Amino acid sequence: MTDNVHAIRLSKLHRRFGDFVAVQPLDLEMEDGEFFSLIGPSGCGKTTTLRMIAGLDRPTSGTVEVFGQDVTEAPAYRRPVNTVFQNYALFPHLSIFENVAFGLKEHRVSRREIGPKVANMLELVHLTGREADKPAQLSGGQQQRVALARALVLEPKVLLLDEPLGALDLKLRKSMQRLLREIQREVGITFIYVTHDQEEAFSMSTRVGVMNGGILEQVGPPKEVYRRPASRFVADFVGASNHVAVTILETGRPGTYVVRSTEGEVTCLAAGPPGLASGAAAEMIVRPEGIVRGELEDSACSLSGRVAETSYSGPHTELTIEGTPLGALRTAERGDESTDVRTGETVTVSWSVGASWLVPEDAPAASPVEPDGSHVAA
Amino acid sequence: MSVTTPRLSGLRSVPARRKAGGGASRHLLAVPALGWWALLFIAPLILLIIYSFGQLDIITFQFKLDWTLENYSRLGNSLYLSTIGRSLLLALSATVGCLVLGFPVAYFMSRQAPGFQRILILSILLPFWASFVIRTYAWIDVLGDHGPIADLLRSAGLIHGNLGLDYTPAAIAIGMTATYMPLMILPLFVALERVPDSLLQAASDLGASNARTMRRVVLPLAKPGIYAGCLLVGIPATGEYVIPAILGGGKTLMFGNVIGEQFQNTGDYPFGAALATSFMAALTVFLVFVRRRQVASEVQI
Repeated sequence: MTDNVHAIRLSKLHRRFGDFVAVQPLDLEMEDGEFFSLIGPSGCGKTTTLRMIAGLDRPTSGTVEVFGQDVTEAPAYRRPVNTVFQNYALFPHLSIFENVAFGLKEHRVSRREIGPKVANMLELVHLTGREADKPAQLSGGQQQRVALARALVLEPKVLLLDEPLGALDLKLRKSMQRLLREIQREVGITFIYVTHDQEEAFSMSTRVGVMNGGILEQVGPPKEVYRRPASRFVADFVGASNHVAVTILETGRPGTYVVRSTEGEVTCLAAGPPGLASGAAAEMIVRPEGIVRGELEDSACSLSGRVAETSYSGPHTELTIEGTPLGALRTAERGDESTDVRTGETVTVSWSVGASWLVPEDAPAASPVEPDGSHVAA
Repeated sequence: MSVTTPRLSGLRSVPARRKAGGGASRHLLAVPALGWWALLFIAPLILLIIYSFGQLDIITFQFKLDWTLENYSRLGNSLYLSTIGRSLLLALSATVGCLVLGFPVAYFMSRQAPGFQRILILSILLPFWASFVIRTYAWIDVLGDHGPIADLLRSAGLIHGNLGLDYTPAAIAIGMTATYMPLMILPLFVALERVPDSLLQAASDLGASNARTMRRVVLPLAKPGIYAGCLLVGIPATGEYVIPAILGGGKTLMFGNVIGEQFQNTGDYPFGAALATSFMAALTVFLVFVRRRQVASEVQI
């Protein structure tokens, strides 16, 4: 396989339902063997995008290519991709064996080969022995594994997963996440995973794409998306953050800027994408876990304020610090390090340049579109 | 106070009853219902069965109960056998006609938005509000040699002269198909509506064309509706009386007409009762058989 053939290549892919733009024209490429997650709030267009790749929905314009082959016009049953549906969509009248064998029969696989293939696949998802059961006799997690086996047994080039763990409880979800990762490594094909749970996406994926209002706002490895969000929406969606309106004063070392907060007139150092102009307005994002109590040696910003609230969650203690020149700030410290903090106490907090990130004001501002098609003023 | 647990499927489950006082008074409450039931359903049925073993004195026209099987042996007459055969054939044609024509309609309805579905259901039930007899008479004109169908086929050059459907078994089958159609469409619709789109999409995703999806997913899941629809159409159609009387013009008779004949014209109550009893017995055996198979298929699902 040549290097420039992508597992999936979406070009100007666009979908509208009447006046409602579900997916703004987007370009996206996914590599062979990648675990790619599409994340975003409900109604952001992630599922529509997935369905267009599967062939279950027709794009208004644009093309879908699978390993260089244009499948835009192909019906779902002629595409080398398979889907694991959110509600499993198992055939209730067929046994587990027949469910998994369904696609093999459609692909004219001989009866002699079907048996071993189904057995292998059921072993992979730890369901050996349940062949004769009906889907209704299985638990949610088991049904999900049947859905996975049913799609994987066809050896698709790309597996699409539409919020497959959405209906499962937390503990089951964690073990299914592990199973999915193991299976993905074992079969080595591209997984495209749609979820609204950013933690789930981050822990499993090689890359994530964040969608909002039909727009793909950022694509990148989880760490990059978390630490260098391309927009305020992305910053908020992928985790708690503090944001401060700032004006850029001057450019420091490459990728660092001197900024002044619009309110409170505090001057800080902040990291940001290259090319921000002096005088431009921006939003400074600071992750709560990047803020430490006390003065760092290389602090980019140092402030003091009053501890208004502490909340202990086990691994973390979250503090709300009010009355700083930048307003209220939220911090998160490792659980047992902050047992000495009391509310009302005045503390000094600081952070390093690396804990901050600038998002330009005019960053890809999603034009939020309501489901009824009306545009909402941002 | 004793408490009984309400059960939805009272037929197969044993209600949990507690040993307590008040059992007798609770049974008393059932007396009116059981009384009506015995008076209006069981008593007439028993009378019918008793009559079927009696005889009519040809001279005095008096009913005599002499426990004879004479009436049942007359059923073997080829005249009645051929009527039974014709009834079954016509009912079968109507049932198949309803199924074949009604299935696409029910499937289409099941894939629509709920609001539109209500309009479609209403439009299917609307003809029921017009008198059944008037609707049946209307078919004489529709199927007649000067009716719209004949005119259309003539102008298309498909037939010359008459359509020739007047007072034929075919006219009866068409009339019954039209009349019973809603009874087929509604249970089919209920069964098909329960098939979620995601199953159809999953089948397509796994490589099944639309025709294959229909055969491997939709039809098996619609089976309870197909059973129900066929019973709802097939049973009354077999005993149909009015439609053959009107559209058959008295020439093509069905079993229901033969029974009616015995009571209304010939006055041979015992023979009419024997005809009716054997007809019911045959249907009961058939229904028990179908029900067994239906339960078996539901248990599988």
